[in-house]
Amino acid sequence: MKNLTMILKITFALVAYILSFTLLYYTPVYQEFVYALNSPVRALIVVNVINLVVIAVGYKKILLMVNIVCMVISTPSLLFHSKLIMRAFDFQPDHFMPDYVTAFIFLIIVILLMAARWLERLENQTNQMISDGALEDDVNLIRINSLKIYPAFFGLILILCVSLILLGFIAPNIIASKYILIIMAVTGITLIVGSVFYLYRKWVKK
Amino acid sequence: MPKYISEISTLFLLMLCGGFLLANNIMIIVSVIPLCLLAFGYYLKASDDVIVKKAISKNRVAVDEELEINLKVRVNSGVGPVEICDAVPAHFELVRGSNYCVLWKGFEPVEHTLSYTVKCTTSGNYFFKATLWKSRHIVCNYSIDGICENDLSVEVTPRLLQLKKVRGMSAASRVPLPEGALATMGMTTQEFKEIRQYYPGDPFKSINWKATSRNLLRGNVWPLVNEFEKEGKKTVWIFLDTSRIMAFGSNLKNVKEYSIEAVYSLSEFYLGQNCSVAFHTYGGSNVFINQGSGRQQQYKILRELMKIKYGGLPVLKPQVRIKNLEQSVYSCREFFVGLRPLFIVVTRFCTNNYDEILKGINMMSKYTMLRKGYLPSIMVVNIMGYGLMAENQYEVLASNVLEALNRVISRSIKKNCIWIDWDPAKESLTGALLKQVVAAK
Repeated sequence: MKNLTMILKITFALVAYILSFTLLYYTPVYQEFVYALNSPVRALIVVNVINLVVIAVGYKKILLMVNIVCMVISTPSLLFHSKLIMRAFDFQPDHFMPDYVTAFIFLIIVILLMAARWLERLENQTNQMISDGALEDDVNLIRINSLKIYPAFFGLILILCVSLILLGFIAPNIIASKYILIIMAVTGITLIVGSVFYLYRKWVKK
Repeated sequence: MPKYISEISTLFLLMLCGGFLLANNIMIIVSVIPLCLLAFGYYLKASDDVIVKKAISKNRVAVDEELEINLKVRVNSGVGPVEICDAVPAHFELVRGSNYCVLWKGFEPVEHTLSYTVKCTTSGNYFFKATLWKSRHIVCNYSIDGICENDLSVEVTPRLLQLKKVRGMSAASRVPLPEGALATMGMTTQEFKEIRQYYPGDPFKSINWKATSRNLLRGNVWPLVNEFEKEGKKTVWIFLDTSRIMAFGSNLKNVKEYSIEAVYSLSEFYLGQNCSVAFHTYGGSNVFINQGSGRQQQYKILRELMKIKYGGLPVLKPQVRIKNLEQSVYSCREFFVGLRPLFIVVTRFCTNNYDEILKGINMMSKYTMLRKGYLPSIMVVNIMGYGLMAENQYEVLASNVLEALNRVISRSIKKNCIWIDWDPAKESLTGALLKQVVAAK
């Protein structure tokens, strides 16, 4: 069971890193870098070596470093899909990965990194319990039940976010009047912010 | 509110605001993840309703006796792992089982029984008040700490070291009885001693009719009589060192605990010999129990001994001066009038208290019998504690060297008293006393 969590954790972190690098690859920044080095292979090696060095520097908290590196290298892709930046630097969105694909990949990266962190936390907690004198069977039960609940949570988040992605990228294509669009946007924002304040207030009251 | 929730809320708002500021759909969509965490954190609660019922096998145990503790834990609400830890007071050693367990709380209430056995290593009053629990949220990174309290307490009495072997050798032994040989068949005092069976010759007025009638119901036809203490008992004064020198050893094995056991055993022995025993501490706490006899006196001494152990050294007011052995003996001088008591000093000898012990013995010599060719009735029980801390052969060697050094230094004091070296790591108190007897032969 312990090996399984370890393998899952490494796999998640590795896949997240590969996906992050894929996002980076399809950005103008990386293409400029390739152009500067005059070799795609050399650029690939240089970027990965830099990332590995950064991860190795914080080897004691390796997963945290992987998280930081993944977020840093996927940020350019995210930013180049911002309308503000596209207009400011006069980029053509056709040159990049489609925005719904970027959104989906970014979502997968976030979920994989979260899952890896949670598995690490679970491992630390169970190790702590065993060292405190808990029975192996009880700890295994906790481990199994936690591993059952995590996929359910991630599945729910994935479904919710994918439906939002679909909605987010279909909605702009709907031909509607200006007022309807404004009403839709205001309703969406109010719903989200309202639910956050509702939950936050509930927590504060508790 | 857990710190985690405020962090998640902040993250959500930052992502949402960033998304709107940069007109970035992806950031707005991803900001839903912290929102989901917030919702899960609230609606899927961590366990916060834990009920613990605790029971202990005995309320009073002796040192080194085992005590069984049972806990019934019930977790009513929430989902996730729950850790239960029953707090065991210091000086207790876990013998069997574990005072810690983890549970998985599903959607149904869960019950668990936790049993373990502890051994009490030091005398005193101890409270088994708290059972700590910690429940973790299954998704969010926060936990709830709680405590279940009760009013269970245990009285741990010092171990009674049996000194029976020495009794039979009193003729050969230099372990003395008091020489102030006053008659033990003296006048009856008002001090109640015990209820015993009637023997022919006992006065009828001493019959306890209530106790006799109760006894009759149990099928015993013999009457019971009240017995009171007699005047003219031999007197023993026990002085216990409570200075910092005695605080040597670990939590589980220390000189202080052995000194208490020695005092308790010696007082029990001399009270059993129909002597009157007084108890005085010096060097730290200032406990004084005037001379008395019988079980009541034994109980008084025990009670004070347990307080010394439990409370540690009391915080003395600035104007109260700590008395050394000489000053303690001198302050009790009016009690020695007409008596020739036996003095017993229980201490741990080292170079630091050489002068103190020497002066104390000289002071005691003034009040006890001095016969030519005999040692004065002063007995020093020296608890050699170096061996208690030795863990490997080098430390054992070092402790042997230090003890040998102390033997050399104490040689001049030994001439004026009966000196008993007791190493609790190697031998029992009886063994130490018998060794002294053999040496005397």
